[in-house]
Amino acid sequence: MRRKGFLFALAFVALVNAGVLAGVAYNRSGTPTAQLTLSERELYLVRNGYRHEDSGLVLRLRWTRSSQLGDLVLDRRKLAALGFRLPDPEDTRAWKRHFWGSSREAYVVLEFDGPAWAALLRAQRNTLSERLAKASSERERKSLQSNFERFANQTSRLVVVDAGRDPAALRARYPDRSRYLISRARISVYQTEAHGGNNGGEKPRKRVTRGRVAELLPSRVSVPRVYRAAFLMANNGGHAVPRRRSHYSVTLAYGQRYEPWIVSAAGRDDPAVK
Amino acid sequence: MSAEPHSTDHPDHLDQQSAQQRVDQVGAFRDELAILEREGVLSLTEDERARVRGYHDELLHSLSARFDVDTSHEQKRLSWGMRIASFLGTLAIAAAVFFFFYRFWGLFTTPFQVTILVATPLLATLVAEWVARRERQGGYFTSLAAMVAFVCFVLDLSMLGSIFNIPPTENALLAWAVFGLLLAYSYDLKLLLIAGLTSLIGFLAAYLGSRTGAYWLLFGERPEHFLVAGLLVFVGGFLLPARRPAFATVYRVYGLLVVFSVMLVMAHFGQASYLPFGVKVIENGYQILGFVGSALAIWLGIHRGWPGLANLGSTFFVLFLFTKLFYWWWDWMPKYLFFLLLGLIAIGLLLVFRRLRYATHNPSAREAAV
Repeated sequence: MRRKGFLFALAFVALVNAGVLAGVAYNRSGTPTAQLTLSERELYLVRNGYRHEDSGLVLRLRWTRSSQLGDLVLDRRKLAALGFRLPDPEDTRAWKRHFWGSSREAYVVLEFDGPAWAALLRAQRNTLSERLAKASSERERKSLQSNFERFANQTSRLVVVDAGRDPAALRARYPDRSRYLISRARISVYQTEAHGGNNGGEKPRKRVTRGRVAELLPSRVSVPRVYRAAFLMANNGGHAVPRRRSHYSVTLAYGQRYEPWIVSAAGRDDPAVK
Repeated sequence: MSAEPHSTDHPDHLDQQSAQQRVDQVGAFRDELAILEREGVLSLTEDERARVRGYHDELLHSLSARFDVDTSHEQKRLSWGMRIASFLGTLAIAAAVFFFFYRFWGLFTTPFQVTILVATPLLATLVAEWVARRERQGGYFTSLAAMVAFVCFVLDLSMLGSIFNIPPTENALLAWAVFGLLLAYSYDLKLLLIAGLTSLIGFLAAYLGSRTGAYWLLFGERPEHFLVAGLLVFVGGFLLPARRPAFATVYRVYGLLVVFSVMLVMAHFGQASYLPFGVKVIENGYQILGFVGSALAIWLGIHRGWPGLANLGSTFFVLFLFTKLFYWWWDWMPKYLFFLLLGLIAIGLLLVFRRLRYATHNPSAREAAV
């Protein structure tokens, strides 16, 4: 048994690794399903806990969550299409029993710097105007303006616009591969009260079911050694460590299995960075 | 006279644990024979003594040559220290491999990273085989080397996933389970068997979770996935060939440990259940199931002579009982009275278990007394 088992173990390790690498090769074959050039707003550098004990650099993909946009996309009808079996929102007992810890995997479409982001900016600008009109001091007005500028210049321009179980169908609906990326994601469900409910007590607020993109799969992208220089441009006491406000651009491609990889990266002083 | 190949004493028919049990039997027989002769109860002729001693000496020699067994009390005492050293050494080397890779991986090119990751478990497996050929079956160095190979394979798949941005999948657990079990069966190592079974139980639970449509990585939020997985492992202990009784014990005890742990959780957390009943009904149902199951485990362990199963059943019977008592009494009973009653119940349980132990150890004495 021992001689055969030892040989089987060796063969098994080789086979599994070959399978994994074959999957990677397949993912990166052919035309990418999406290729976008993102900045630190969409791919921020993760500061890992080990620091000197972990030399790897990892970027985390982030998108703008908006109660005005993203969550409306994942309404009850859409959630049912994603496979969620939803009880009546008013049935709190069934809700607790059947939806405790309920999450499902699906594909989501993220739009980059498109109409959804423009609509978000418009909404924020309108809110800013309303609040500026009500502001009672110059300090308050400056704070509101600063918050808006921070939102406009630092928030991720990726917004979830759709979700589904068939990535090919989603791609057919959103064919622009330089603006829409399709990624696997974990969708979770929650309940909230509908806006505009009457607080006077005459009409109770209505409970509604919504979904949210809990995380993208994967949400982290490893930085190959060849691109490290784009992220380690600052010197901090002699150590090449990432700076909190680094500016860089990363061209990210998504392959046949919707797994991403970095195609190119450029740092702040690089002429390629706009 | 020597052990014939078809005899149950032949090393080909034994595993590490059975071989040690056989050696212990010989040692106990020799000690008891010396006492009987000293007390004048029994006296062997020189010829009989020589034949028995010759048979036992040859048996011990053949078992020592094949297995890493303790043939004396002094060796037994040292063995425990070696087991602890082997386990700590395994943990330390595994941690060293893990942290070494994380410390330097970002500085390597991708092809070099992949080469190291793929080569490390292969090399470690070769080292384990090389060590095993120089050591007897079930040896400590083999255990250490094989465990390091397992950890390297875990690191291999984990890091490949990180490098190539592959979302985690439950299939990795299956791969680790298969590799762990291959090494465990190749080198007769219980620690690796436990590692392999842990991965297997994780995979089965995750697979069942993903079949319901939920995200697989959250399979821990529904403990009943582990219930099915644990039951399957427990049943596996009855289906294994009789050549590895020590492994069958691990399957049975570990599988049932998982099952009872889930029952204990569900007995207090019914809302996580798939069952279409009220939460209180589910919790009460699992409590009853836990009591009945642990009592059955005690009975089965006594009936079949499996002390591990009997002890596991006893432990969980007490746990189920005490958690139930806590639920009934803690809020309203004075604390001194609560703990006093617990103590009295524990004494009562001791008396019951002592009767059971007496009944299993001396059935003929009880019959003679009657």
